[in-house]
Amino acid sequence: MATNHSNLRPLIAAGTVLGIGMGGFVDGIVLHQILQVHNMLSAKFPPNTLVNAEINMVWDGLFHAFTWVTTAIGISMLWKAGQRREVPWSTRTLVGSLIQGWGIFNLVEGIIDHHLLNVHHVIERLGVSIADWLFLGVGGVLFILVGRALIKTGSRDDVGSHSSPAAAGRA
Amino acid sequence: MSERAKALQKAASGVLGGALLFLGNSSTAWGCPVCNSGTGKAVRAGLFGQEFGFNLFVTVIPFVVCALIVAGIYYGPPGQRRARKEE
Repeated sequence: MATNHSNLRPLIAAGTVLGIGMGGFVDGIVLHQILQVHNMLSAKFPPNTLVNAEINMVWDGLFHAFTWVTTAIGISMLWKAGQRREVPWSTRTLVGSLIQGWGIFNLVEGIIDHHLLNVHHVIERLGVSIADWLFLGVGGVLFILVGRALIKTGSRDDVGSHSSPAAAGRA
Repeated sequence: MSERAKALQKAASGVLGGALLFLGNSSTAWGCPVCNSGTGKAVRAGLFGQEFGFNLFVTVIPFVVCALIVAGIYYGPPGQRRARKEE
């Protein structure tokens, strides 16, 4: 059991930010670049001409830049959490937070970009389709629930006796 | 170097030279946003049109919302925050 003075919040926040960044990379790399089923503004600029494809490429690049910054912030937060002795170093908490972050990204990005602003959809040629709802339901809500369940399990880890290597080194 | 290897090298350099000559003269191939070509200019016009601000907003806004959610996770609801400070 984690000690009464332990504080999981910094680890959960760091893992969640990393999950948001890595989830963004999965979206950008797999859906935008490898499968090319949509791009950042593919509903506004259908990538069926070189000019439109290049315009989308620039916005995809900016999207990746923001995911990179998010991931860098997550690494920094994780490093700082590792230096705090009251933060339990729980693998399940971290993995759960990563999955939760990925789910938050999918849910937020899906609601805003796919449904509210309609700037792109999961499979662009279909418009709003079952894929968009699966993206929200499975990639969003289910991932968040699985992440939260893992975080809850991790909070019971007996990690009071050994914290992160960084914190141990400072003991 | 054998005659066969020399012939292959010559053929390869010919293909590469031909490709570069073709790409260099093709306006569609050099359509990058910083290229000074018809396609490049069209890409810039599409990027920096009237909706540039809105497009930037839609690219950024999911990250802003996610950051607010993480802040909520880190600091907790206002009631819990006050209770922790009083401890």
